[in-house]
Amino acid sequence: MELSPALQTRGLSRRGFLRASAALGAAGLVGGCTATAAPPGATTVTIWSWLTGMDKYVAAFNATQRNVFVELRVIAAGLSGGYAQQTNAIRAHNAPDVLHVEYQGLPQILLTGGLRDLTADMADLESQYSPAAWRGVRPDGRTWGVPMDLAPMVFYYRKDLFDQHGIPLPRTWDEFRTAAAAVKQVDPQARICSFPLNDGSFFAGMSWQAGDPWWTAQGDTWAVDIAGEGTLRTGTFWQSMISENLVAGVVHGTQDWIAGMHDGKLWGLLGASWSVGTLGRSIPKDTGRWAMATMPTWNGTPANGVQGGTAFGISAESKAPEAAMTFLRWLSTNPDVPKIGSTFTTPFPAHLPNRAVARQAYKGGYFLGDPVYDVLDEAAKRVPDWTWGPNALRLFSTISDSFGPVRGGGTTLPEALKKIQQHAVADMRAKGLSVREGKTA
Amino acid sequence: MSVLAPERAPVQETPGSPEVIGRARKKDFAGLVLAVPFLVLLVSTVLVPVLYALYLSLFTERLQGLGFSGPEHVFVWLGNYVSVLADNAFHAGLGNVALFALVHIPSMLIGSLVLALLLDSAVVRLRQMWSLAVFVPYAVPVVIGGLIWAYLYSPTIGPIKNLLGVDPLSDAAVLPSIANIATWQWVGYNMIIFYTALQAVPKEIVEAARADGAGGFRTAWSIKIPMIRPTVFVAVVFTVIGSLQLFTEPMVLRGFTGTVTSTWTPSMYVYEAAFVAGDNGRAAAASVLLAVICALLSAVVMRFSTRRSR
Amino acid sequence: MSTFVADRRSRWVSVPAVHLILVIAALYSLLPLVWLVTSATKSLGDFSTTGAFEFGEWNLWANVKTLFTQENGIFWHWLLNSVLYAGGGAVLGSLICAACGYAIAKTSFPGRRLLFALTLTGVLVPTTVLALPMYLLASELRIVDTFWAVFIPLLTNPFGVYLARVYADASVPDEVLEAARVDGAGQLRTFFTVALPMMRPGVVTVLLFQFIGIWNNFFLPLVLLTDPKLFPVSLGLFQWSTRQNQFPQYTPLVITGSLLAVLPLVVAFLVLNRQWRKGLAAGSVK
Repeated sequence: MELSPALQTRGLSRRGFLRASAALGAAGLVGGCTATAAPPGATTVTIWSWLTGMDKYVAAFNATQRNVFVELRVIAAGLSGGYAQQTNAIRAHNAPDVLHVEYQGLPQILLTGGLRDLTADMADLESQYSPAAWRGVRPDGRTWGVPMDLAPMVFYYRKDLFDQHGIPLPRTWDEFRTAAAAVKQVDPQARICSFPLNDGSFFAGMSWQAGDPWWTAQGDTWAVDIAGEGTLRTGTFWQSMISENLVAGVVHGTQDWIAGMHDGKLWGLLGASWSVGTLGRSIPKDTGRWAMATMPTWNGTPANGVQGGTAFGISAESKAPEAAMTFLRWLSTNPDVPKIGSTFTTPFPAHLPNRAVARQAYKGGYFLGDPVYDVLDEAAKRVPDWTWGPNALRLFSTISDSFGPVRGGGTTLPEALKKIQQHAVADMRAKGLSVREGKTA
Repeated sequence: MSVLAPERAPVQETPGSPEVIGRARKKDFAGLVLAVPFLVLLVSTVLVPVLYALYLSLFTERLQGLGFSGPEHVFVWLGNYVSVLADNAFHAGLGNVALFALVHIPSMLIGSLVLALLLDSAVVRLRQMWSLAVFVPYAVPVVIGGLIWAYLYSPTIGPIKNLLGVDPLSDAAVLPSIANIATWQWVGYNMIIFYTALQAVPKEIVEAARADGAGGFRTAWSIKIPMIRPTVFVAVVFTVIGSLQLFTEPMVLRGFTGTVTSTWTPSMYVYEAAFVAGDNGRAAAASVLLAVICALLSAVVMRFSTRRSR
Repeated sequence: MSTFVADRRSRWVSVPAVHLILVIAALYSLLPLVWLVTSATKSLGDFSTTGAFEFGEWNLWANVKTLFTQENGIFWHWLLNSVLYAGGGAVLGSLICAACGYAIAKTSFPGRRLLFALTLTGVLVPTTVLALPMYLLASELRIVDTFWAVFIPLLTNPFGVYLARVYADASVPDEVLEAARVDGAGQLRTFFTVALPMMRPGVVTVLLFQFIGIWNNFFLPLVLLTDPKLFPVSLGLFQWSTRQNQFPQYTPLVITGSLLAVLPLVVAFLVLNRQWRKGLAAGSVK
């Protein structure tokens, strides 16, 4: 990412320069933290995070605060090492004050017993958050994290091509199938979108919409329902789309996918809100060709899935929980944060007043049709209840591993889902968790 | 692995010369001083971790209820080993590396042996240039080699799909595709090793065979190859160990295709167990099992090699 | 070698056939690298749309510039780290190997046999086994995510010790050591001033291969490091490659970065060609 102007001036200041040269001379190799030092008397809060642009947020926070100084260490993204490092740090009793969790990873981190209960600290903020995000940090009714952003899924599509060939925007999945067939008829090489089989979080987002949560915390027991009616319906639908060769199979974001988008062979994308930026960057020449809409629904009842979203937790062993809370409240609710974020991404904050700030700061110009933030807002409103289980991250790799043979005809999505359910239940029971199969109330 | 295979297999111990042995204790102590840095490294970065892995493999974390009250350490005897050995994913991983080895080892060894023999034949001009050209991929870090091939394999932007008519990243083709990356990387290296060994074959023996009327193929097959057999066997041992540890190439390809699972090889299984599932006991048990398999296989190859070269 | 012999030899296969095989082998080895060069000169758009081996619009300098400015020039860190891990590790590691190999071959300290047996076993222990315990130990010692957590384990090179022993056996005659002793040199001094120079070609080979080994090592840094500032170049590029799916602008950076990471190694190999050949010969030929 490019340097923000704020950071550049900071880097050029005399103090910064001296500090940088000292660091180079002495310990440039050993430490890995931000180079600035805490003002005298300030409480230092350490944070580990892989959020893009976190360095800028931290720099902005430190520039305005005297009592709390935040030290950032950028760690590898989630499953590329971030979760493992945080989990092991908790086990070794040397966790940072603030940990990076995603809604989907929160329950798994909770299994270490390493997070602080924030129920009381956060109680006053409930009404200011998007309900989906608020639920995301409260898997068992206690608050374990501070929501940062949320990534509802939307349908991006080539409005120019849809209009040109008289294909109406699909509002239900049945219409989606019709539209997919129409696209293929216009151009046998083209598909309406890709259905990436190796992305568990994508399929989870698709299933989320169907209204059958995979996990529910019922008292002291997890009800696990990965092969529930809604999920099987989703699986059956996409299985038929794959069997009839109506969708492509390329992985989102790969060179093949970009080439397909470039060449007009992919007319749409079922993606999260962060794809707003991905599209603009991958195919800048397509400005004014794409539009976005909420996801097609099952029967007209509004519902929408989510693919990702960030929150932050505080270590149970933190020596500065109040200072950490001060920083996290700032990060989550201060209007400067989405303003900074808008310079390099398209933030979609979980905090509603901040979302309005992000909407204001959005420059636009790439998409046709309904304004980006209108669509995203509407999508976020439609998100049904969902709880992530303590094995969600592992389940994503199980999904991607079990879906692998689908394309070659080795198995079908519904079959694979039933196996995944068994696998997940066995895995959770092996850990000693109390598990009940299916959705019993 | 980045080791070179020497001519002589490591079998017998050479005792120090008598003069040295006859010396005072103080002098022996000097030898120890020279050996101590490595000894410390060996203990701290090999011995202790191996023992720690054995220890870890006997424990697991037990949770209860929703699990949010945190884990409890439990001693489970060989429970982790049982669950790894019963895990289909682990079997599949072993199957994959076995197949990989079946494709990679013969193609790589035959390729490098043929090239080494060609270089050793008198007809080749610009020997240096050829050997360098084939050797260069060895200098390419495995991650980067993997990335290069991954792009070349990508169906729409890489040329290979059009060339072969097969999608190199599809279910059926991904294993040979991965083997190809490894072969590309190692063929030149082993060629150099074999070539160096071939040059040590006494010229008189080769000439004598030729005088008896043996042709080039015959000389190569019945004189040269037997003479460098120990070198070839050491190369086989290291390639077998390397194959079992296969990790980087499939890990890189995972970003490009869904056909490589997260537990595609035993090493990836260990990585997944430790760093995705957070199950250190199972990860340790799997890694110990992997080490045992490595040791058994190398013992088998070594035994085979010493018997054959007698 | 007389022309007579050469002629006789040439009969067994035709000269063109031999060279054809060599050409194919060379193309197989080099074309992927040629691809790396052409691709590094393309913009992201051209990369997806132009042929694999043809040049698009010349965009190399722009790619290089982005590469070195991305994330505050972290690529510099990665190159520097690789040089420090591999260079420092290889120099120190090969010296340690030489000392230990010499000690095993030419002195008689107690426990010598045991150490050698342990060393040989060490050769066979897979990195995978060591990685997790090392990670946890480093985590306990709070050195996880530091330079030393990666540097120290990579110094350990049991196979280097084995080779050094072979070299010491082959290239340091006992008479010379005896002469040094008669001259009054102590064991340590004898090693550094007499034996080490004699073992030089072998030690340089250990050094070169340890350098390559560390430069290529992926698993240990992947497990032990999460701070990008400490990454070696291959881990850094891998991390960028995993981001391509969300941020395609990383693709040209991964490719250009790969090219720049490969170049020094290839050049080093070409330049040191003679040196490592000599070492290989010393190790394999008596």
